[in-house]
Amino acid sequence: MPTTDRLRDGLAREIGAERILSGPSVERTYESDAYNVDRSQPTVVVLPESTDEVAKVVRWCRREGIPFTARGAGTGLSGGAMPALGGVVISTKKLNRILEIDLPNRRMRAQAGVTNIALSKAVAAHGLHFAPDPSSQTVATLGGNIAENSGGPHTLKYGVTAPHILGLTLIDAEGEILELERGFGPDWIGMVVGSEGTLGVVTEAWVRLTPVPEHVETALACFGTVREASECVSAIISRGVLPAALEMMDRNILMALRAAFGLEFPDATQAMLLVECDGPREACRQEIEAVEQAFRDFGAITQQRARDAAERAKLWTARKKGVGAMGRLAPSVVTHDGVIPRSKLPEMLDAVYEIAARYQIGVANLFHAGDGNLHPCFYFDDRDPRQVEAVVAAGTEVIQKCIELGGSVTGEHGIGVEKLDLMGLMFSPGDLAYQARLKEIFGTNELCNPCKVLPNQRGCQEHRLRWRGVAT
Amino acid sequence: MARGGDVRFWGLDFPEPLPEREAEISAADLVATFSAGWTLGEVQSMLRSEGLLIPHGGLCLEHPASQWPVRAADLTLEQAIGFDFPHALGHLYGGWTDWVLGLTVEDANSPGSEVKLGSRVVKSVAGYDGQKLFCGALGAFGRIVSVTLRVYPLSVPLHADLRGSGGPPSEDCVLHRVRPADLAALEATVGEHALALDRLGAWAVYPLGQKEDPPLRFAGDQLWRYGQVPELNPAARRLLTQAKVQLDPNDQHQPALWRPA
Amino acid sequence: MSNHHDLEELTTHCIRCGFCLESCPTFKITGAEPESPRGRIYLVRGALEGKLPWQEIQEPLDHCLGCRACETACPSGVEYGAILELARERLGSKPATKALLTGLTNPGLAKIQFTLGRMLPGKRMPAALSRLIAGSPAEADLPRPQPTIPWPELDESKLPPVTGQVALVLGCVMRVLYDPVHTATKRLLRRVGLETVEIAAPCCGALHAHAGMLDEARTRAQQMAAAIPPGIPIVLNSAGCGSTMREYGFLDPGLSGIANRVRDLSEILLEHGMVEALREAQGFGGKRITYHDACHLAHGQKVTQPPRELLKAIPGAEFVEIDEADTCCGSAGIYNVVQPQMARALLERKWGHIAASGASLVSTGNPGCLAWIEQKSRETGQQIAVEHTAITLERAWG
Repeated sequence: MPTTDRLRDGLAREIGAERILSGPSVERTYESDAYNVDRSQPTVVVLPESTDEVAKVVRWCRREGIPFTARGAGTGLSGGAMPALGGVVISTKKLNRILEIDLPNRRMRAQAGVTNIALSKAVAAHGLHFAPDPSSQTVATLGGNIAENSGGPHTLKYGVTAPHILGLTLIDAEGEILELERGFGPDWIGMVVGSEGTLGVVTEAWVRLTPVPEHVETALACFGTVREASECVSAIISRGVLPAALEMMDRNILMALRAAFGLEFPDATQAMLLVECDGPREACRQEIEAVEQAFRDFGAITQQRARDAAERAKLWTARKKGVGAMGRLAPSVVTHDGVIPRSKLPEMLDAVYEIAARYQIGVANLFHAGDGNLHPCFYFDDRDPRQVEAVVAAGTEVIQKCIELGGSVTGEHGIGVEKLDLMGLMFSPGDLAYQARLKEIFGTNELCNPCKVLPNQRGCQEHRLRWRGVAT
Repeated sequence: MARGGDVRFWGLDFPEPLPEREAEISAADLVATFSAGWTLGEVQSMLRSEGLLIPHGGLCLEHPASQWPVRAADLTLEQAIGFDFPHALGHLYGGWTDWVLGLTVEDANSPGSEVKLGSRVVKSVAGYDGQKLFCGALGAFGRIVSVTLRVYPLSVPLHADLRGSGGPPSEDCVLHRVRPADLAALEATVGEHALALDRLGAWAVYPLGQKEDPPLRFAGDQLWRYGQVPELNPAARRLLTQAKVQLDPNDQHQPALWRPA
Repeated sequence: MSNHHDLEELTTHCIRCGFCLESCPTFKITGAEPESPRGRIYLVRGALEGKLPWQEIQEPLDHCLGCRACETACPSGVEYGAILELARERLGSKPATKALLTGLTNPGLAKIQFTLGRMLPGKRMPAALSRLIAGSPAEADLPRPQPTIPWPELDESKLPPVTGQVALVLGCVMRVLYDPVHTATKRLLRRVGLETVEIAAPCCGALHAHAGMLDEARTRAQQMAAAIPPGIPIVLNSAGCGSTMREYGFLDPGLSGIANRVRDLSEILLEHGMVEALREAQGFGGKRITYHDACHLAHGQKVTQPPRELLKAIPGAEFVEIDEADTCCGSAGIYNVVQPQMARALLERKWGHIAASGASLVSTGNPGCLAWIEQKSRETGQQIAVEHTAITLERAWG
């Protein structure tokens, strides 16, 4: 029997034929997530509706020796949802119910396929929200946020996804259902969040609900040099202000925004800072005034403060539409992700420009400056194999520089398959061997989202050319 | 309470602090790396001279109750992390799992070899977050050599809402993290002996008195009883057993602690 | 829309970020990526590059409503509507769909069909015919023309002086099914001092364009353009037609000038003082009303606020928003005829939101939505009125 039929029939007996998708159009549309340099097609896609159905699928895959990979909205930027060895994609898009809202305890239980924004909408009337806000929040799922430990502009103050997960249901790689809660003993939840779906499939979670801040102030400033803007960032933080968001955009991003949306800014601008403070009204006002003082101290050319929600939305436009604007400049954009100590921003930016110039590719920079998390966007034509290679090589050099400056190979996009080779920059072979043992704690096996996070896994190396080969 | 070496909590012995005493503080990046043998008090005073602090507001740095049951300032970093030592400002600044950005640990299975976990920057999702498993592990996975922490400017607000009174109870006590909705009921029940910290994060400490069982069982996240290691749920027990096999197969650290009943 | 019609070029603008997924009605219902905008674009690109045969992508493209909500969600400005129409042209239309469109967009023929339809048992398309077109039994009742509303003559003495002229496109479906909407439109325009010149050209070409019959659409567009007098604004009260006419440059670059003059009725009314005029109307006395965004108004023309501002200005009306107001109801031109099951699922979802709002009236700006949501209202005992925005506004005067 051909493989597709065998998988479809076997899984149909477990969860019903109507929950299974297959065929050429399915294979193609699930071959990558939003990182599309590497691709690999699944044999079938399943859409389970309950924790039990997911457990049945995982146990069946385990019995039959079929690889399985969980997928939410497929907005990941490092290939975490790519079925690296084919097999079954377990989509969470039918696990889309909010199960319980516990307002007195400010928590909510939801299935993994619920979108990030839907979590917040469900409790908006009660003045609460789910704080992590990745830019993909209108589509990205809770399960995906958990897998990637997603960040976003407001994580400077509120933290990434991990602190907002109070409990979760994990189907481990053996098909066991584990209910993990915050409590006595090691922080298991902290280990599962950010493990990129390699320790099992998360089907449900209790999330923390955070009060919507009483007051918000947003200010924006343009600087004549990147150095002044970077030093201003450090000054704001060391003066004891903890903004909710502190974002920086470089001149190339601004030029793209000017071309695409008519964004206005002084011609001498080399960098723009966007700062948002929130909290009790009076404290918030004092904070934003301290920020504005820092703007002045570091020679901002212009600055403005939003007077109402509409103006705030306008100030955020530049930040939110940045990558989209890049999409209008070229057929493909790869958004890189690296972290450096905040104080190394100017040096890092110089390096990014130098590297891009050497490889003759376009680059523009968006930063979560408060976190030292940079996002250089390379824009190119992915139909030209030479450009694809240049982008990959330039990206590697950027990350090498991050490590040289004491940083990390990824701040929020994850390792996936994209950064497998870069793990060795940050960790020694001994460190990586220890991480392999950490993974073993979960009884994991070579079937559960294979070939991700750790380099040099058995049976993966020979597939890497195939992933790239499909792309070029 | 003696410092460092012979702190007992849940009846557990912690080994002597490792001898290294190194410190590297980057005020501009709000990140600092310390040898794990420093006490929290020593670390706070080093940070303070750079205008920084760890916002550990619990049990309690500036409160009379801080004598009980252990002065947080006397714990070494290794102990504070091993206990995931609770405090009263969690709703504002999180706790140890949020502050510990990276660890250097001894590989219990390979004496003398050190392993780096996590990173040295405030945000990183590279690899598995093994540093988080050492938070709350009571030292059972091996020794912590050094710690990289996210730190805060001295000027951040530190207002824990301390409730109740009567001072620190001298009897056998229960440390309970309750959900916010249960806090009022807990205060009403245990009356003046309750020391409830942090109305949003909702930690509470109350005396057991003569009774064997605590006066109330709330739907809290955890119930810690001084002198006794808490019960674990089946999932946590399964993972702990497997973790011991992977990380400390010869059971050299906190022996018997996680062994199945 | 773009002036270049290179389908491959258009598909490369999609960077596959996936931000469109939750805007797509068929993805929300199925959870399946081939039924999403990102998926469909990538399938088209795959077919163009020979990675999979064209017939493999027929079904996902057939399932697309063409609502273009994805264009609103897209941060990269991908022209999904153009990709869809060009890809459908490439795939070719089914003969039965062609015949259906020919009848529907010819006012004389349509009238006869709808009249015949009312004599059929169940008032739906016969099962055999539906299977030919859709492969499954019909869901949509054959539409019936809205009865004339006996409005009194306007009292000229109370009206402002006439200050300008606009051209009103009567269209095909609207003219046959919803003639009272045109009457209300003309009365509303007069109330703000505008005189109406009626454009009787039969069809703007919208339904043909959506089905990928671009040559047929172009011919109709050229006929339409020839019938419109120069200089004055062109007013549409049918969202689908307005959307296509604003994009006539896509069908024929020579028609860009016409396209730039196209406005939705709600925009024209708002600009000419309808909010102020409504202050004199007697209003609704405490009625709760809501609004459903026709896709080709909200996403095709980016017109979302003007109709709301007008409805909110009706004295005594309590305006509430429904959840997913700008998500397609499933009507989508001829979609509810060719894809009955998906259309029904979307109608049920839409109706759930409308019912939950507690409104006793829902207004919208497109004939397809009207007929489809009206049907659901009939099925549930007509507790909630479904009206064109123009009818609702004109009824504010009693």
